[in-house]
Amino acid sequence: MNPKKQVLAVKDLSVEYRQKVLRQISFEVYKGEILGLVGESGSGKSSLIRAVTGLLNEGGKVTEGEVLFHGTEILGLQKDKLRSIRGNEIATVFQNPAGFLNPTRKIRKHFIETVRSHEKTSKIDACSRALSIFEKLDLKDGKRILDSYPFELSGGMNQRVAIALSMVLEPDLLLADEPTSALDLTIQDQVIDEFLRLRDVLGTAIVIVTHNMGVVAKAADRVGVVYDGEIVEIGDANKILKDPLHPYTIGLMDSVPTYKNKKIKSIPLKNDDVKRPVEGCRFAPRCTYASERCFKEKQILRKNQEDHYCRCMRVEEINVNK
Amino acid sequence: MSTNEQMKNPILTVENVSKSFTKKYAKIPAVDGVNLSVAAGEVLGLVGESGSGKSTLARLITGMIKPDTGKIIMDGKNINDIKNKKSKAMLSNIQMVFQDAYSSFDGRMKIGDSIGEFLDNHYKMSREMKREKTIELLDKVGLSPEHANRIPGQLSGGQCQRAAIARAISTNPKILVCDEATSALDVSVQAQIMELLERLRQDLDIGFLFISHDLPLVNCFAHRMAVMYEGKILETGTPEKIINDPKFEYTQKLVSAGRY
Repeated sequence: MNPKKQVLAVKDLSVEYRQKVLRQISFEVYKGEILGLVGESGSGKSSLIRAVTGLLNEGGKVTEGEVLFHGTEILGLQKDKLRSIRGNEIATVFQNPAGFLNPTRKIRKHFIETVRSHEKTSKIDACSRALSIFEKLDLKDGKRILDSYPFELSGGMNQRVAIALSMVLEPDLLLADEPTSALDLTIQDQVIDEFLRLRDVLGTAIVIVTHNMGVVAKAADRVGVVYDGEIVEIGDANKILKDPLHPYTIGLMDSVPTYKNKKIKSIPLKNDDVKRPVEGCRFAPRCTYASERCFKEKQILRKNQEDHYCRCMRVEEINVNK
Repeated sequence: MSTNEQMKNPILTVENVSKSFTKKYAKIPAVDGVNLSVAAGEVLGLVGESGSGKSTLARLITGMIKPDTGKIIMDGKNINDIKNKKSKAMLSNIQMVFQDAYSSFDGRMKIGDSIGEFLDNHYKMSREMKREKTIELLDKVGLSPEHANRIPGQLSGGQCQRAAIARAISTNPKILVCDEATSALDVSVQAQIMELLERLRQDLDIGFLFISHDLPLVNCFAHRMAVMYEGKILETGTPEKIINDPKFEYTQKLVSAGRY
């Protein structure tokens, strides 16, 4: 048994709009752990967050699987029950903080509204809780922030306020959808520090969805790589970043510019001539290692080493040649 | 390589350029005494945080706004002299690629027509010639002729950025200004666009002013780099020099933020 406390477990979750966007996604998040989910746009990362919180857009529905929060199924819950969990126990942070905060209201009002919609408490108490969360997140000058309008703060500060706002009720789980993508490099760093502090001080379990490998490298304890609605590789962050196994992850790592990796390589474009396989590996049409079998046989997520799983039948062959 | 590049005469020179905006009776300097130069086939990376004046500088260089003081010299001519300003050749020498490719096109116009309209502005061409030229341009950036019949909304982010690059190179510019051209894209798509820009640089000998806040990315592409902070250029040098030995506190912060 794992000694760590499981917070969220997603089992075989599939989501459909007009097409399938998620195929049997499974992962777990434990207390005090940051899971980074990476993948390109359109891979279904954001749908995953929406499905977990029951906020799928019009036309989207969960076709199979379950989402367990502290061991209880939350997918079938009634709307008002789900709403009380959302915000109170599961919080979300989105990419664009300016769209998340109401421009005509001071930050103070946002906090009062959030706290009082979940708990019966006074406005003064709500504010003092806001100040204490600011302190925990090392946001200086909390009183001034409370009395500011969102447009009076910088983009990075807005995002940190949005994180503080989602954390004011001290939820056990924080889901962050591209939280740093709209920010500068130096501000990104501050926001990542915020997440690390949350994990260390409050023990929050955090899922960060991003396409930015830098964020994952700095923040995540575990990494899941999503390609076309499937998790193709999941496991310990250090192992995956240092020694990626799946051809997609290898390609992804090669396309990330770093100070050392000056020759960035792109992953070959989708080859339109190859009809996309329904049965086999979904990455096969773009994969340089693909064989006939890859197109035909269904791939399963197999354990490669301790806490490192990969969805590729040829993983051993490929990684010998590397 | 880079010493060879520096030997070349600069195509674009920015001399002591300043620009300030007025806000509630207070003058806010956006660009403050900037000196830069870009040679043919050279990539100058410009890094800095938002609000540091990078985009204002790009707008000054492309002639969209006028500097308060200083000169911007393109091919030996000041771009803001009246007689030069009116010449189309001046405008066609310098082109720009924006961050948001979708909004840089008319959303209701086919890509082919957008590029065609652009060609109309600069050249006299028959409809047939225009069509051929458009297809040739799309081919150069790795798009198929079929993409000319699509509207921007029907293209992916990477494809749309490719189309924007096709339009930008249609006038055979000597300088291409890329303002955060890849920051809205995924890493794998970003790598494709960077490969394309590098190929164009080699084939067409275009000089680049590559504006980005992504220091590791600039490191991959640029021959020289300038760090901008509060409207001023803090330091310039090769990416290696700046990354290994940043002189200013801000640069140090930027370098460590990009390290992973």
